[in-house]
Formats: sequence, C-alpha cells, structure tokens
Amino acid sequence: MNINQIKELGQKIGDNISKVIVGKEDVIDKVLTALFCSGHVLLEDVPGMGKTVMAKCLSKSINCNFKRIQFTPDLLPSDLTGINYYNQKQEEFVFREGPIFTNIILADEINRATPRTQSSLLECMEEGQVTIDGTTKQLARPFFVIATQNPVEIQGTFPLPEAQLDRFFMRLSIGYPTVEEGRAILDRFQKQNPFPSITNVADVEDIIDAQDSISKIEISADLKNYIVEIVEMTRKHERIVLGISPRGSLALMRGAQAYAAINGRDFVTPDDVKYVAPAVLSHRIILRSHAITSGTENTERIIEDILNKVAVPIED
Amino acid sequence: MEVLALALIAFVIMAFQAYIFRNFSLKNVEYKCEFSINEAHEGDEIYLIETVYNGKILPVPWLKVELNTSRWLDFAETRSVLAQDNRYVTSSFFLKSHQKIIRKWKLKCIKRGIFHIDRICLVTGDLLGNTVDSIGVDVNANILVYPQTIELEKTFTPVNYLQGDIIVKRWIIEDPFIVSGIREYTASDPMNKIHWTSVARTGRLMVRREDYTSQHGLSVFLNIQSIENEYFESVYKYYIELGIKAAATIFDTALRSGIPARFATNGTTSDGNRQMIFTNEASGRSHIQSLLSILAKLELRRIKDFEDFLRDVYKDITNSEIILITSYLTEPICGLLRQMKIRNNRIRILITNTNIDSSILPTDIDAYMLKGEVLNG
Amino acid sequence: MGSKLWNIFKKEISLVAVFTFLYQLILLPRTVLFGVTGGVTGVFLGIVLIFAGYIIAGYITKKEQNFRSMLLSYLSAIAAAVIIAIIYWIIAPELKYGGTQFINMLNWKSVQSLKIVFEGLGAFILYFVGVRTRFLEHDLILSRNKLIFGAIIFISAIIFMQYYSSIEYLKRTVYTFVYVFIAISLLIKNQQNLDNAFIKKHIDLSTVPKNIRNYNSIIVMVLFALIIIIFNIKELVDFIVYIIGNIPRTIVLFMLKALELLSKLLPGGEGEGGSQGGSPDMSGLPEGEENAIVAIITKIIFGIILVAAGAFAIWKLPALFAAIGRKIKKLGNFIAELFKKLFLIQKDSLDKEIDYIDEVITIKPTSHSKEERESKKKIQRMGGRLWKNADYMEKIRFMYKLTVNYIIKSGIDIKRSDTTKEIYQKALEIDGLQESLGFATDIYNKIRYGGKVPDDAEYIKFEEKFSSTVDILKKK
Repeated sequence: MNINQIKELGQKIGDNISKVIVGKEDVIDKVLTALFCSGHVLLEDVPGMGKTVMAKCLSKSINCNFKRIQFTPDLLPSDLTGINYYNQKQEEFVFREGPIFTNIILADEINRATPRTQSSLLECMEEGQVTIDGTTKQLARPFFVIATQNPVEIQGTFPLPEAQLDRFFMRLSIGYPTVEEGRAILDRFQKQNPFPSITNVADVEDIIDAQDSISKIEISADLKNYIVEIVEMTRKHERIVLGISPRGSLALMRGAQAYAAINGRDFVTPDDVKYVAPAVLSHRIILRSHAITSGTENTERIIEDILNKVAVPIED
Repeated sequence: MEVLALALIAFVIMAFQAYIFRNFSLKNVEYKCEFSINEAHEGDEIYLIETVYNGKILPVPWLKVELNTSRWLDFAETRSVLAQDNRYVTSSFFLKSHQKIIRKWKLKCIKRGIFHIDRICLVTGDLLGNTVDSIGVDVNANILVYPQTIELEKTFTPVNYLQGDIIVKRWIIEDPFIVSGIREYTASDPMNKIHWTSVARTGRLMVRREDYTSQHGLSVFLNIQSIENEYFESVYKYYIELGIKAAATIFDTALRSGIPARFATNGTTSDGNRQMIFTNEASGRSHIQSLLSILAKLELRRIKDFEDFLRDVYKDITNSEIILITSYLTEPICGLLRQMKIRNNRIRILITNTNIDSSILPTDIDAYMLKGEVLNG
Repeated sequence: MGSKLWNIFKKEISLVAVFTFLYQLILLPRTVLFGVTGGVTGVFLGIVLIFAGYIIAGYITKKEQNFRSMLLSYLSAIAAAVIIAIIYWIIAPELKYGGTQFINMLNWKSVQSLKIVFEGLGAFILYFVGVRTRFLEHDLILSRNKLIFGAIIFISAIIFMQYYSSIEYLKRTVYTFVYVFIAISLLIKNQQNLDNAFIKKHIDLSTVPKNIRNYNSIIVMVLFALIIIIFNIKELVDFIVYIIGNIPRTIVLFMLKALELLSKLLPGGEGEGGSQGGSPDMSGLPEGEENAIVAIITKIIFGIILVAAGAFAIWKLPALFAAIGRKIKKLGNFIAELFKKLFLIQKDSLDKEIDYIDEVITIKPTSHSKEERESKKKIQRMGGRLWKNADYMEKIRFMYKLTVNYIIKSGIDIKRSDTTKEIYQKALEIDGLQESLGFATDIYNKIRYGGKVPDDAEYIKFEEKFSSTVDILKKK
C-alpha cells in the first residue's frame, strides 16, 4: 500500500468515526496510529466518555469483529481465552472460544480484574496466540485491544502494574468535551443515535496491508538520534526511577512512522515524534515510589518537559 | 600642577563610576527565583533555580542576592548561615551586558512542611564601595514537602497476630477465590460460576459457593501527644514524626489500592486556625493529596487531649478499618478502641515507641510496635 | 583563588603599594644628599628588604605568634640594618656620588660614613614595615589613613621636586611609583568592597567567588588605564601624531624619489634639460617651497589617516580591552600558581563551586548583532564560488537557517527543542508569513528529513518564498 492510500484509509476511518464521536480528532488519530503499528491502546478515563462507542465505531468502520469484555473481580483467565468443556451429548471435550478470538476487543475496566486475569490478556496481546491445554491457537489479524482503566481514584481496583503497562503501545485519555463539543454532542444525538447509520469504509485486508507498509516509512539518522536522546534523558531524569526500555524506543519510532503515514508523508519529521511521544512514553516510565506523584498527569508533564529540553535536529 | 591634575582626574573618574553604578546598576535587571517542582517528599533532591538578567549595556560588576528560607531546605552548604529555623544564603553574581545567568542550587528537602521564599533583597554598588544600592523583589516561591514513606512491615513488628502481619490489607466486595463449597445450580447463576469438576463428578450442574465480605474504608488516627500529660508542644518529636511518616505510607498504599481513607488527629495544621482534624472518608488522588498536605503542615502540639478527642468521635465510624498511631497507650484509650470494635470496625494499633509497658498492650486488638525492646511490667 | 591564597595575595600586593610611597622617603633624600638615585638596583633592594621583613617575621612566628616571637621579629630589623650597613661599608670605596651641595660641604670619609648610616637606616625602615605588615590584617595594611598618608607623601615629593629643580629629572620615576600606587589602591579598594559586601561572620569566610573577583579586577584596571590615558592624553596624541605624521611624509618622499629615478630612465625626456637625466629641474623653486609642497601633502594625508585611525581605534576599543583582560587573567593565573608553589599553599576547598551550576546566556539586542553580521558575511561568501558549487539541498538548508535566525531577531522566542512546525506556528505572530514560511517549512522538511532532492521548479519557488519571508521579517 502506498502512502497516499494509507493517508486516504486513515482519513476515511477517522471521518467515519467522527460522524459519531464529536471532536477528539487527536485521540482518533492516535488510536489509528496504534492500530497501524499493530499495537494496543490503554484508555484511561472515567465512565461515560465514549470509550465503548469509539471502539465500536472503529470496528464497524473496518468491517471487523468486535467483542466487549466487562472485567470484573471474578473474571477468570479461562473466561477470556476459552475452555475445553465436556459436551455430554457428544461425549467428548469441545473447545469453546473465549471472547479473545476476535479482531477488536474492548477490555472494559481492566483494573477491576485480578492480576492473574490481567496477565492472561496481556500475554495474548504480546504473543498474538493462546495456548489452552497444550494446544496453541493463533489470534486473528488485526488483533487490536482497547483496554480501559478507571483512574486510580475509584475504589476496589487492581491498577495495572508498571511492568505490564509497558505492553500497551499507547496510553490515552479521551477527556471531557469542550463547551462547543458538548453542545455539538447534544445536537447530534438529539433525535437519534448516529452509530447505526455508519457503514464500513475499509476492510480487514486494508488494515493488514497498512500495518505491513508502515515499516517502509523513511526515518533519517538524525531523527533516530533524536529518539535515542529523548529515551536517554528519561533514564537520567532526577524524578524517574525507571526510564524507557528499548521496547519503548522502538514503539516511539513506529508510532512516528505511522503518524507520518496517516498524514500522507513517506518520511518522519520531529513533529511526528513529538506528537506521539507523550502517549507512547508516559506510561512506560516509573516515577519515584510515591503514588501521589506518579499520576498520569505527572508522567505526561515529565515527558513534555523532556521534549522541551532535547534539541531537535534542525540547522544549528 | 600635574599631580593635582592627576588627583583630580582620578577623583572625577571614581566619582563618575560611583554615579553611574548608583543610578543605573539595577535598571533593567530582572530576577526570578523558583523551585524546580511545587511538591516533593522528604529526602528528595530538587533544584532552586535563580534567573537573573541584565538587559542593558552597563555591566553589573557585583550583585548580591540575600535569600531567606527555612533551615529544612538544605542547600548552599558553604554559603549559608543557620539561625534558629532560618537559613540565610548569599548568592553572588556578576553580569556582563545583556547577560542572563540561570543558577541551579541542588537542594535537599530534609523535613516535611510548607516552605516559602517570599522576598529577596538585591544589593549592588560601585566598584570601590562608595555607594550601595538595594531593592526588594517579591519572588513567592513555594514548595510543599510531604512526609517520607517508610516500610511499615520493616519498621513495626507485630505484637499480636490476630489478623496477620500485613498492616494495610485490601478488601473487595466478593472474593471468587475464597470458595467455601459447592451447591446446586439455580436459574439465576451465571455460567461462569459453574464448577465443572464437580459437574463431571456428580453428573449434575453444580456452582461454587463464594464467601461474602464487606468493603472497608480506612481511618487513620494519629495521636499528636507523645506522652499522656502533655499540654503544649510534643516532647518526643521523633515519635510523632515517625507516626506522621507511617500515616503518609498508609495513605500512599490506600491510593495505590483505591481504598477510601480518612485522617483524624488531635493536632492542627499551620494554617488550621486551631481546628482539629477529622476529614471525610474518600478515595481519589485529590483527596489523598489533601491528606498528605495536612500531614505536611501538621504542627506538633495538641489542641485537645487525645482520649477526649477519641471519645468525641468514636461513635461516628463504623464498618471501617481503623489504624491508631500513637506513642503511648492508656486503659481509657484501649476501652474506647474496644467500643469502636463493637461497631464493626477492624482496629490496629501502631506504637511508635520502643519503651512501652507491655502490660498495657491489649491482647484483643492487633498491635504493632516499633522494632526494639519491650519493657515488661 | 581560594580565600586563604587570596588573603595572602592581598597582603603582599598591599605591601607593594606601601613600598611605593615609603621608598620616596629614601629616594629623594638619597638623591638630594648623595646625588645618586640607586637606580633599579635600589628599588629591587628595597622590595627585597620589605618582603624579607614580611617573610622572616612569618617564619619566626610560624609556630606561635606571641609577644616573644613578635619582639624577636622586630629586633631582626636591626640585624637587617646592620647587614646592609656592613655591605655598604665593604663596597664604600667603589661607590660613586653626584656633585651635590651636601657632598661638597663634607670630606670624603664623612660622606661614606653618612652613606652607610643612611642606607642602614633606610633598610631598617623598610624591613621594619615588612615585619609590621605581617601582623596586620590585610584591610589595615592599605587602610584609608595609609592611602591618605601615601598621597601626601607623593604630593609632597612632587612639590619638592618642583622647587628643588636639580632633582626634577626624578619626576618620571616618581610618577611611575604613583601609577603603581593608584593601580594597587584601586584594586585593593575594589576587592575590600567585595569582601565587605559579601562577608558574613569572619574575614576568612569571605564567599566572593573567583569569577567575580577577576571580573572586578579587570574593570578596575580598565578604570586605571582610563585615568592614565586621560592624564597623559596630550603626550599620547603627540606621540601618535608623530608616528602617523612620519609615515605619509616618508611615503611622499619615496614616491618623489621614485619619480625622479623613472624620469632618468626614460629616453628623450622633457627636452635638453631632460636628456641629461638626473633629478627634475626644481632649481626654479626656492627650497622652502619644495618643502612646503611636501608639508601640505603630508598634512592632508595625515589628517585623513588620523581621523580614520582614531575612529577605528575607538570602535575596536571594547575588543581591545577584552583581549587585554584575557591576557591579564592568564597572567594572574600564572602568578597565582607561582605563589601556590612558592608558599606551598594547599588547594582551598572553596576553589571550586560545588553548591550550584550556572548557565550563562548572552541575549543580544535584535539589531546589529554579531550573529546577524556573521550570517550576512556567510551569505556574501556563499555568493562566490561556494554558492555556485553548493547543491539545492545545501542551499535550502542554509536559507532555512537564515530564516530561523531572522525570526529569532524579530523577537520571537525560538528554543532548540522547537520543531519546524512549532517554529512556523510561533512565527505566525508576524503577519504575512503564513504562505511563504509554510511553503519553506514543507520543502525544508522534505529535504532535511525525507532526504528528497528538490527539482528546479521547487528550488526556484523556495528562493522566492525565502526572499519574501526575509523581507517581511526585516521590516520587524
């Protein structure tokens, strides 16, 4: 797939989603960026922001299967992956697929499930396959997880440990709409829900094609150095105990490439790197061991601080 | 005569430089002072950043900045003078034309509290000490230093093992892993509750029976008195400071786990107008932050005797996990704790004192003591 | 310098200042009485004596400074005087004297004896003062009273020379001492001022950083130089005029001589007179007129050169002073190292700034900045062969860099961490830039990060947009 096609694809999907979701173009862009990088997204938001709607719109736009899993404290790993159960009629063990066998999963309130259940999902995200009772089954392509997490404030939660957060490509927050957007939401949904009226604008093959083409986007040596400098600074920052891993730096590069492609460019610019960096990096750093100073706001602020300090490769 | 001409020239030049520096030295000189962050913890190393800019051609050959802040912000070791609770630091600069200097002092937050640098004094003069000019500059730099967290399990040792040695436990609504048995399937049971092993064994649909547990909030009571009969400032400040650190650690854990928390003490904060503290029970970052702010600003003197304070409030709390942090115990206090226990509260006591009479320790309440010797009766 | 070393240095340099006016009390009487100044040897010997008193007193009181050791130090001045007297007694027959009234009055032996006593006394005074200095705090060595006393001595000495015309030739020497005295006084006063401004508790805890001391020392020396220049302005101008005046005169004479030679070599020439060769027939002109022509030409040329040279000198003065400052700093560091080695001074812990880190930024005003001038020079250089040989990518990159420089000069705050898009968005503050700068940014991104080579049309359009961008920015 060439650049213009990728741009067009991104445009179509984005416009389609925007028929339902008011505003939030940057969140949609970032979700698409993650999708094209074969990554997964963690949406951290309070209830009612439109997380489920966005995931549904995305799946409808690309004509793929969608499953929503509501995570609860009693959810077991087998509830996600599926089990071999004994069918009394057939008198044999039959495999029942879990909801994980789909293209797009909305894992709602992942921090309400126990760490054991969280791990089972995260392993699938990482491996792209599931092993049940010794049998390995491949997951579908594209396999895209949008996990949602309530902010830590809410009681009775199991916040994802920092080491597991690293498996998510991006951490995003939809956030409250602006006044104008709020008004537009009321106008749009006044008479009917626009969701049923949207149709698919792309297919699963288009997405796979785009995913395969992203790595061909040009990224200069200067920009690779720029990415490395940013990552290096996270490792030396006074408030960061654990900086970005090589996985994180790769994710940043991929994210920048995907974002460049969505914007119709076959080369990455520093703007692309700066744009995706907070979403890609902020959940991968561990601040000093005080929960109060480890909030999302603080980690994003620190990443932005670092971006404001590292020199961009421009003419001296 | 020549020598008089020389003397006159020298005098004129010296007077001229005195005039120029007196009238123009501090013109277009900008000064700013701020902490690198607004909130930190005890023991954190941050920066105090001074920015001074000379926006004119005339250089400033010397500029003295007199900073006055708290002694508990440790910086400028070789240049500071300590007097009671104050730290006086002299920062010196020379500025060429159109030059900006950004100076970063490495600063360690030694103690919790809220610290300010409100106003500084800029002093300069001419080259030969004939004139000195000074102005005050409002900088309004503030920093809130939270108490340090500690490792509770390493600092305190359990005296009674009624509930185990983990001080802050998590309690959830239902625990599907605490299976107390199996029962027959009913129409209202979800499919994921089916216990397949027993189905295979019995040939009938069977489901797990799970234990019901109630959700608890967390209330931390801090006794600001270090001994029983203490009327003004705390005598053994170390015990109270340790208690504050313990409380901060508990709130930190509560935030991570999403447990709603409350704080109560018979002391007050530096801006509290002698009001004792009894917060509401809530969860969330902003609430926990406010509790930590209270701990940071807490003054070490009682407003009311702790026993009287506890008597006033013990009826207001039910179905909660209560942690009492104190450096001493009395029978009346233990009695009140038992009353609270009757109201379906789970009680734990953290004793921040190694020298305590073991006979006073209640046997029916979880107690944890600061690691060290326990004196018997 | 560390505070310890600095205090020692201040003491010693103050001692030099004291020596300058104290030596007048020996120099003038010596010249009046014996007709000899002592020359450089005398000055050198004087300095040695005063520092000998300082150093020896230090060694005597090194272990413990009590009444006994101090008394011993003072009494050693007698020993110094005696030693000097002995030396003069030994070399007495070799000494020569001037023909003064005093010498004429006495016999030879008496003169010699008096000379020995005089020098011994002089040595005693100098040595004694050196010892005394050892036990004083540095700010008392060159106190206000001493400064006034020194000034009185100098003024008295100069007045004395006015009226005692036979020693008027000493004026230059005395003025040299005056200059040294002024320079050191200004320096010490300035450093004391810094110490007083920054001192907290004790004099040894002065917290004035090295760079402030150095900078102030340089400014004070500049002030001193200004005093000397203004005081000697007439002589300086005369000197410059003399030098400059001679150059054009020499050039004109050389040209005339060359013309003369040329005319000799040409065949035919101006007629019979000319065929004989030799110098042009100036016999008609009286000699004075010949000189007058040269003089007029010389004056005109000299006038132009003087004005140009003066303007150039004034323009280059700051750079000159900066260069002098750097040399002085280097010299100062060298002397400090020497002192450290000589006096085995341990490295002071305050030598290095450990409490803070400074970032120094120069924010020049927008117009006539050095960077702009350098950029302009670069364009001019690029206008030559370099520009012709550079490819489109290099040219576009250079033009973009200039654009960013102009944006900065127009007052917009651009940071090193700003991307091209951020620079563009910040520059939109300036009206009219949207289209041209937007296009330039896109092309720059393409070639810089995409490695694309622009085609002719793109390059030409970029140049146009660059020009219009720069025109808009220059108007800001």
